[in-house]
Amino acid sequence: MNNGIAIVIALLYLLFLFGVAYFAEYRLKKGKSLINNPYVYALSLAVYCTAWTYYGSVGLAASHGIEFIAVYIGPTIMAALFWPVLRKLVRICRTQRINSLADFISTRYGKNFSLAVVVTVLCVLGIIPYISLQLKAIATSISVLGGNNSPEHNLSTFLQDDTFYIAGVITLFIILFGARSINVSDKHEGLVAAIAFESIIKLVAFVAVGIFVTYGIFNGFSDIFNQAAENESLKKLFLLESNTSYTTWFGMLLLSMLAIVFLPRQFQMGVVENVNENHLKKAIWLFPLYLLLINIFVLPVALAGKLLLNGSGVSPDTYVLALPLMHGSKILGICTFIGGFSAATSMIIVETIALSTMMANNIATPLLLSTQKFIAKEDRKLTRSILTIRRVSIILIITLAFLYDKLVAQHFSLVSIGMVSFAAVAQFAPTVLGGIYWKSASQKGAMAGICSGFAIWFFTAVIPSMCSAGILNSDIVVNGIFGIEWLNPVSLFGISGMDMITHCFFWSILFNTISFIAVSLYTSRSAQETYQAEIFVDIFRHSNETEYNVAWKGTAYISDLSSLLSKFVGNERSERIITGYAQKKKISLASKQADPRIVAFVEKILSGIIGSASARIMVSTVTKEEKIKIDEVIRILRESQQMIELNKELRRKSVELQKATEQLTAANDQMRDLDILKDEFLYTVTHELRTPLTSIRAMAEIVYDNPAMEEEEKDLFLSGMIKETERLSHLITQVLSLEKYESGRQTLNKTAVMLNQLLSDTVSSVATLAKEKHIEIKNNLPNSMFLVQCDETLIQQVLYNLLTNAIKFSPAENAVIKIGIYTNHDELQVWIEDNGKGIPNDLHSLIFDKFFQARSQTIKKPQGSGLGLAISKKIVEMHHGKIWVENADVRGSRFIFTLPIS
Amino acid sequence: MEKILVVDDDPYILMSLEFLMKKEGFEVKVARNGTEALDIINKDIPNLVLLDIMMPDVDGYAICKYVKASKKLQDIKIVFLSAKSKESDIQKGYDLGASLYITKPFSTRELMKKVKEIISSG
Amino acid sequence: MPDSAKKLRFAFLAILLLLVFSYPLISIADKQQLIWGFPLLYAYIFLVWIIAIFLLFLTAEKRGPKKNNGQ
Repeated sequence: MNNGIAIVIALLYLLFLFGVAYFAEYRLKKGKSLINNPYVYALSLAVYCTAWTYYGSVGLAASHGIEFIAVYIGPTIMAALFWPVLRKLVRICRTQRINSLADFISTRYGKNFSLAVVVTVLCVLGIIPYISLQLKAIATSISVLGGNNSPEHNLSTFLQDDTFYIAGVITLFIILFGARSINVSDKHEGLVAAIAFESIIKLVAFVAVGIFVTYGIFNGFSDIFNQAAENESLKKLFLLESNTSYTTWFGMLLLSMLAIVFLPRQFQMGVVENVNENHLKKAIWLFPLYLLLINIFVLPVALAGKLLLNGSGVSPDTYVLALPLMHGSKILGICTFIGGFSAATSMIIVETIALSTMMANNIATPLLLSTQKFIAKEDRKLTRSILTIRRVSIILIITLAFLYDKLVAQHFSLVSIGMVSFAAVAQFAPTVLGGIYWKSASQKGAMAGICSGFAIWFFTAVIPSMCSAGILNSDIVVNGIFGIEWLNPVSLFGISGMDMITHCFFWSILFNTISFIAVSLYTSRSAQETYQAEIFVDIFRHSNETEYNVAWKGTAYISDLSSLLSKFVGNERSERIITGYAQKKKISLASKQADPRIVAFVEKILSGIIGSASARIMVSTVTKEEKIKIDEVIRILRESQQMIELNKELRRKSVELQKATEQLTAANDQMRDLDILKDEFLYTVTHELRTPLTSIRAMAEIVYDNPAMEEEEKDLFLSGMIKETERLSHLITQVLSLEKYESGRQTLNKTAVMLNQLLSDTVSSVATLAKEKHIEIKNNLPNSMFLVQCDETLIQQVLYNLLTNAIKFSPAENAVIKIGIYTNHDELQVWIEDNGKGIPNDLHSLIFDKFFQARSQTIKKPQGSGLGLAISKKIVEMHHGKIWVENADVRGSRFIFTLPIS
Repeated sequence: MEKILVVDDDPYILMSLEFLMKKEGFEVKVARNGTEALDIINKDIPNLVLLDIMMPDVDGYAICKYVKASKKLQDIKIVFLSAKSKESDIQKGYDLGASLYITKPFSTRELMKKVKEIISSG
Repeated sequence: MPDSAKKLRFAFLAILLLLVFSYPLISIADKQQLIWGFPLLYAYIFLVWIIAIFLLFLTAEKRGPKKNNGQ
């Protein structure tokens, strides 16, 4: 096999990656986003695992044992802080339309232009070597797969260089999927999908090698470990202490904890490309799981390499590839190569996107826009210029990385470059973390912290590297710079005992944090900073309401803002964006002067396209801003707060209003029901009147028309007429009295009444009626007195109604009516029981309704007026008592009513 | 001789109608509830039934429906006499095939005239 | 579960993990010894790692303690 085949494989793989990205964007167009998925999000975070993980971990493990794993345990610890920290960053970036780390820092600290430039420059300085490292890994793996030993490091022959072409194709990919839309706050759908896909490839490939080595070449884990345990030098790799110090271990843990958030590619994937905050929930445990899986086989493969390939001249950094090749598995070798290639490309792609966005938005675009001639340019050209800038930035970064690889990188091992980059991005930690939790963190503090941190980083990490690479005189690391001993880059202030990276990390972060805090405390903040600090720290409170009030004062015209925006998004869209926003916020567009909220909104839209610092410059060219004082900002913020409160209050009020409306509707319905009831009542009453009227009229007509009829027969009709007339007048009386109770015109004439006496009197009045029907009335009245305050006439009517009812419903034979009375706490209970056929349970509450008999069973004629129980209920209720019916013990019903004693 | 059945649960109305029909020379049967009425209808097959609607057991509508559904009985003329005066109640009576629906209270003279008309119309 | 409670749990987990992976606790396992065929330190790290992932899973995905009203 030669390099040619490896290159073809690499290019085919890249072609496939294009396909994946195209497919994802195609799906998005159909409305089915691939990346709006927590698993894809978690996988995209695995861009953390680069060629350094893939090849370098094994290399490091082969020399330093288990130490390498700190770089993956750190992110696991940090994953626990994803929810509090990363989620906050995500929320801030989404609401503020921030799309890079530099943009984040500059926006937080008053949209400061110089801060954005500094952050960008430092990111590029810190990360370019790291990208070139990936190119180097690709070149090395191609030559190993091709069977050549070491790749060329000669710039003059770059046209014959394999990596040159591969880097070219990667650049094309980035330009196609990373710099297509002018709006950087749009998500890179295809790109993220491709990265997630690459994460799967590299995991599967590495685990495959691991299994092949562990179970194919050896007999499982214990075989490798046991063989290594017999070798004195390999045995040491099982331990931490004999290879490294606990201080270094701890330093690496902290460093990688910060790297997982602050590396530009991690910030890009974890924060900028996040589609949904809730995806974090899955990433919190899935991402550590990914790291665990990809690391299980690292130590076994390293040990296997040492056992089998030691002294063969194969670099430990290529064991992963060399082992399967040496043992005759060409196919697995190719798979491994693809895995490593995917690890390298994913890193290059995302890191380049992140860096180029920073470069384009924070350095190039502001320079371009600051020349007056560009502002006057027509829309199309400006948009194209900005895209061109972004593309050129991408090409520039890859070229720099390529040059670095060819000129400098051969002097370093894979791992040391990576750690130096980690230490570089760690310098952003105090500024960013302080910025989201500490309102007093100031722009000057941030600048001081970052600059001092970077100075120390450069001095303690870059200079020693250059010395060991032979670029600088190595005398510096022995005797210190200019021979001053306490300025020794590897033992600053004479403190030694730490390895280079830990030493660098310690001093740089120390100086960084101290100057950040000190300067913040001892300097004042501008109004803009105060406002941004408030929004960033309290983002969860502000994210929905920030637009109530805006810390902007000055004069601006809508037409100016609109034409500014149209330069970037086109006339039609610009119009639509502004009117849409005004409608949503209920801002009138009638006046030519723009509301401050519109100014802020246009600025925010522009930041999504060209970054916040440039957006601020652009907006300032078309507006006349007045200086705003700190106390004004504080007032505005307080008003915002009040607005929020007011809004809550408003919401509460509207809920109350809703409730009131519902109550009103219910009352209305009830009224209508009552109306229906009244109609029904009238209908029933007239209906009840018709029956006696019918017989009276019929009988009267008969008697009148038949004067010749017999006396006896005539008497029958006449007495019938009298009886029916009585029935009629009884009915009318009852209807009238019920009406009296219902309208509340009936008054109570309360006297002290002996209830047992009243009861026996009433029983005697119905005795004749009972006797006629052969009903026995069992009077269980005790002799004691039951004195109660009530209206005697009315209560007697209740007793009479209940008794006549009982008589009416008594059976024809063996009829018994029992009555009783007793005291129950503070009330008297009277009960009257018959042994008729009883009342079904479900009707127990209904029978007290007027004309219940008539209404519930239209077919059944009521016996009696149908009003007796309704009237009785009214009377008892007027006395604050209760009336109800239960089933009698054996058969029949028991009516009970109560009267309160006092 | 024409046979007439009078059904009503009010004793005085029943008494009056029985008197009037007999006087006119019809053969009269009386029933105080629906069950009795159905017995007589099946046994004697009257020519005409004066039928109350609201009764304790079987209502007049059901009786009418029963009569009109039976081949043997469907020629029996039904005249409803009811206190139910709603338009919908009356319509229901006619829908069930009644020859006449008279609301209470009614004029006995008018009633007799209508009954004779119905009987003679066959 | 209120968000602040969730944040506190995660902060606690982060501190706990940093402790068990740092000196002096990690030195407990830093011994030249094989356990079930694995180096003690290797076994310790991966075991704690798996437990950590499980705890992260529970904290991230579970709804938290049930409310007192038993719903």
